[in-house]
Amino acid sequence: MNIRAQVSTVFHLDKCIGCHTCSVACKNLWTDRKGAEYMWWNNVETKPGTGYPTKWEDQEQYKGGWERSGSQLQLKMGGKASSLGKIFHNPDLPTMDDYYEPFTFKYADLTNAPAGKDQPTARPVSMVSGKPMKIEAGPNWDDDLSGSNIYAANDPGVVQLSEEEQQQLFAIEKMVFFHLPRICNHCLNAGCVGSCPSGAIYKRGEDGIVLINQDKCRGWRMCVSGCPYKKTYYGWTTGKSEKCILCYPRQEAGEAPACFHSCVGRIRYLGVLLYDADQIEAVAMKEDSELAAAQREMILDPHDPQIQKAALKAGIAEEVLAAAQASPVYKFVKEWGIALPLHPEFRTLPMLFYVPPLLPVLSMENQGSQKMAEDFFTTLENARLPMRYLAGLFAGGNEEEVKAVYRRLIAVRIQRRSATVGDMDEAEVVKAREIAKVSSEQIEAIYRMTALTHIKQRIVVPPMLRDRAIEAGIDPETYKQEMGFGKRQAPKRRW
Amino acid sequence: MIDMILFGVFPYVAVALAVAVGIYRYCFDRYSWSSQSSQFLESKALFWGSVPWHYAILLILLAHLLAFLFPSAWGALLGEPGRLYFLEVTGIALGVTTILAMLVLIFRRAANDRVCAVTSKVDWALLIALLIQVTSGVYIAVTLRWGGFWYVHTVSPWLWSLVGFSPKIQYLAEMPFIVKLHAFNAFFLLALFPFSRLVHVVSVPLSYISRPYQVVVWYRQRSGN
Amino acid sequence: MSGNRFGLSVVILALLLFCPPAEAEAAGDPSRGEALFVGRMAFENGGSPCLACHNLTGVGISDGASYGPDLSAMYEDYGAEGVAGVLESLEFTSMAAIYADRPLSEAEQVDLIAYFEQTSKLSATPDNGKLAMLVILGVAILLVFTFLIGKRRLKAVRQPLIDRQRNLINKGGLQ
Repeated sequence: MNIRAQVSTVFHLDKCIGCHTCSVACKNLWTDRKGAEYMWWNNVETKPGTGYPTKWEDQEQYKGGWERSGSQLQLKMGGKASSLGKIFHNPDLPTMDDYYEPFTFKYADLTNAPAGKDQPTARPVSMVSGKPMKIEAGPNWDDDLSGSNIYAANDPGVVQLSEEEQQQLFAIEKMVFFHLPRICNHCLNAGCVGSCPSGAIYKRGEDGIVLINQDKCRGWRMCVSGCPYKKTYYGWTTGKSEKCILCYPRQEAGEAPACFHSCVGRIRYLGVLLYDADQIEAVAMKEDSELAAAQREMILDPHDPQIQKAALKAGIAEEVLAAAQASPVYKFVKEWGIALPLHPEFRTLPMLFYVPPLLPVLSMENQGSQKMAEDFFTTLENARLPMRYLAGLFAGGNEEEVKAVYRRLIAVRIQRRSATVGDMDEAEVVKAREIAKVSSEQIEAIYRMTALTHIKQRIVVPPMLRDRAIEAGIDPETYKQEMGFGKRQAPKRRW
Repeated sequence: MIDMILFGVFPYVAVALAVAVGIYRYCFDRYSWSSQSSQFLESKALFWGSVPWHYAILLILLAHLLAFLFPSAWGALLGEPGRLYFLEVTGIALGVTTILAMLVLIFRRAANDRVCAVTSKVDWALLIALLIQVTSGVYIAVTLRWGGFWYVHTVSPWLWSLVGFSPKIQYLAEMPFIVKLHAFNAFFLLALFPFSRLVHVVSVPLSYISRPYQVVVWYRQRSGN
Repeated sequence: MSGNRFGLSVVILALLLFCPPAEAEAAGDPSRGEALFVGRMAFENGGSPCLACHNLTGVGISDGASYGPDLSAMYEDYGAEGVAGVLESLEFTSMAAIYADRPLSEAEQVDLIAYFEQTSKLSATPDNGKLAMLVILGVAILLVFTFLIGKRRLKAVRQPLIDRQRNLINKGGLQ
C-alpha cells in the first residue's frame, strides 16, 4: 500500500446559482494579463450546453484522456513515440476559435470622435491582433441558453439521448438547465501529466495538486490535448502552458482557494482524501460503468487506526491526517456517497466531485404535493433531466449510480420536510430512508453540511507544512536579496 | 582578409555566442526557453509549413552532420554513381520541400493578423535567414552538382580545421559566392540560436519515451520511501 | 591481450591484401581509373574523386556533375600528354586547396588517363531534364506523404455549429 494525501473538492450543484463570482475571483487573481485573457481556470457552464471550449466533452474530436489498449492504459491521443512524432504540429490541439478570441472595445473613439450627425460607437477589437473583429463567441457565450439549437442541442451528452428524451429536454415550458462550475480536477491519473513530453507537469506528492513547472515547460502543447477537461491552457504570448493551481500559495497560507472563498452559493467544499496510489492504474482500467464506484473504493478511511498507522509510515504528517478526518469531501464522497466525479470514463480519476442537482430533476412532477415516498422516487424515471444524461455526466453511463445518489438526496428532502413543514408521515420518512439506504443521523449531517456550516467546516485546508519543505533546510541568509520579489520574472516574452 | 574574418574568425564568434548566451539564457531565464508555437492561433497553414519543414530540414541537417563527422564513410557511400544520384535527388527534393514550407510559414506570419501579432523582429530575422539558407542550399545542390560529394573534400576539412583551431580558409576562399553565403549564413544562424526561439532545437524531449506517465514531486524530504 | 594481437594481425593482413602495388604499370587500367573517378576507390592521398565536380560521358549520369567543367572532351582536346600535365598539379581555383596536400599518385594518374582515353570515344549522355523530373517527383511524393499525415486533424469545432445554424436560417428552416 502506498498511501498518499490529496486535496480534493466537492461542488454541490443544487446550490450553484451560476453567478460566475468564482470565475471572476480567479481571473482577477491569476489570468488578468496579456495572453491569458481567454483562459478561465475556473469557468461555469450551463448544462445542457456545449461548454468551454466548445464541445470539450467530445473526445472523438479532442482525443483527451485515456483509453484501454489491451491490458495497458494509453492516452487517447496516441502512444509516447507517436506523440513525439506529432511534436511539430499537434493534430489534437483546439485553436483559439474553439474557446473564443478575447476582445475589447475602442472606448476612446467615444470621446475622441469629431462632432458629427451620428452617435460615435466603440468598435470591438481583438485583444490578440488589435484589429477590428466580429464578436461571435465569448466567455460563457452560451450561458443560460439551454434549449438553444446551437448550444444545448450540440451538447455531446444530449446528442446521445433518444429523440424522445431530447424532446423531453427542449419542450417549451419544460426547458431545464443547471450550472456546472469547472476547475482543474487535479486527477490521480492526470492526462496532462501523462502527455507532457518535457516532464514539466507534475503532481505534488504531499497534496496532489497538479502543477506545471514553468521553467521546464517548452510549449509542446500536448497537455492541452491530453487533458479531457481542457483545463490546461496554452499561453500564446509566453509559449508556456498554464493551469489551475488550486491557489496553492493561498492554501499554504491557510486560506481557501479564491474561487472557494468567493463562492456566493457556498457550493464548494475542500478537504483531504487519503488513497492508495498503488491502485491508480488498476482502477483506471475498470469498465466505464464501474469507474465511479471503483474510484470511491480506493479512498481510504482516515478514522481506521490501521490506515492511520500506514499513513504515518508513508510520511503523511499527523496534522494532515487530522485534516483528513475533518474532511467534508470524505463525508460527501465516501460516507454519504452523494458526490460523483465528472466524466469518470475519461479515466483520469478526477478528484473534484459533484453533488448532482436535485431541483431540475424533481420540480416538474412535485409541486410540493406528492405524498408517497414511492411517488417521489418513481419521478426519477421520467424526471425533467433524463437520468441517462446525468449518468453520462457523472457515472460513465451507469444510471444506477446516479439514481442511488438521488434517492439519498430525496430522502434528505423528505425527512427535512417532515421536520420543518410537518406534512409527511413518519412512516413515509422511514420508507424513504430504507429505499435510499441512509440513516436519520446521516440525513441530519448531510443537511447540516449542505445548509448550515461555517466556512472552516466546508473548507478544511490541510496544513501545508512549508516550514518542513526541503528548501526550508537552507539558511535564508544564503539567498539574502536574491530570493523573493525580483527573482521570478514577469510572465511575458523577452527573447 | 574578409574571407579570414568570415570563415576563420566568425565561426568561433558564432559558436562562442551560441554556447555562452545559450548557457546564460538556460541558467538565468529558463522561463523563456520555448518553441513559441503559434498553432493555438492558427493551425491549418501551420501544418503545411511546420510538418514538411521540420522533417525535411532534420534529414538535410543529418546528412550535413554525417558528411562532416564521417567524411570517408560518406565519401564511400557516394562512391557509386547510382547511390550518389539517388541521394542527391532525395536531398534536392527535401530541399525544395523546405523552401516551399518556409514560404508557407513566412506567408502565414505576414498574412494572419493573430500570428503577426506574436512575431518579433528576431523571428523575422530568423525566418529570413532560414529562407536564405535553404534557398542557397538548393541553388548550390542544383547548379554546383554534386554538392553532397565535394562537401566531403572541401567543407568537411574546413570544418575540421576549425575544430582543430587552425582554420584552413583556402578551402572556401576560392568557392563561388553562393557557397560562401551558405557557409556564412549557417554560422549566422548558429549565432542567432541563443537569441531566438531556435533554442527549442536543443530541448528534444526524448526522455519522455522512457519515463512513466505520471510524475510526482515531493517538496518535503521523505523518510518512508 | 590475445584478442588484441588477433585484431592487429587481421588489420595487417588486410593491408597486405588491399595495398595497391608499389610500382605503376606503364599502361593504365581504365577500370581502376573509373573506380577512382567515381569514388568507388579512394585516392591514395585522400583527394576528392573527380565525379564530385566533373561530368564525364562514361559515367552515364544525365545532368551530371556541374561544379567544374565537363571533362568529356578533355582527352580529345589535350591528348594524353596534356591530361597528364593537368593531373600532375591540379592547380585550379578551388581544386588547389584540396590537391595541394593530396596529389594523385603516378599510378592513379596513369589509370585515370587510360579511363579518359577509353571514354573519349563514347558519345555524350544527353541532358534530358531527368534530374528535374525526379526532383519534382520526389517533392510530390513528400507532399502526398504530408497530406496523408494531415488527414486526421482536429478541425474547427465551434464555427461549423454556427455555420450550420446560419445555413438553416438562410434556407428558412429553424429560426
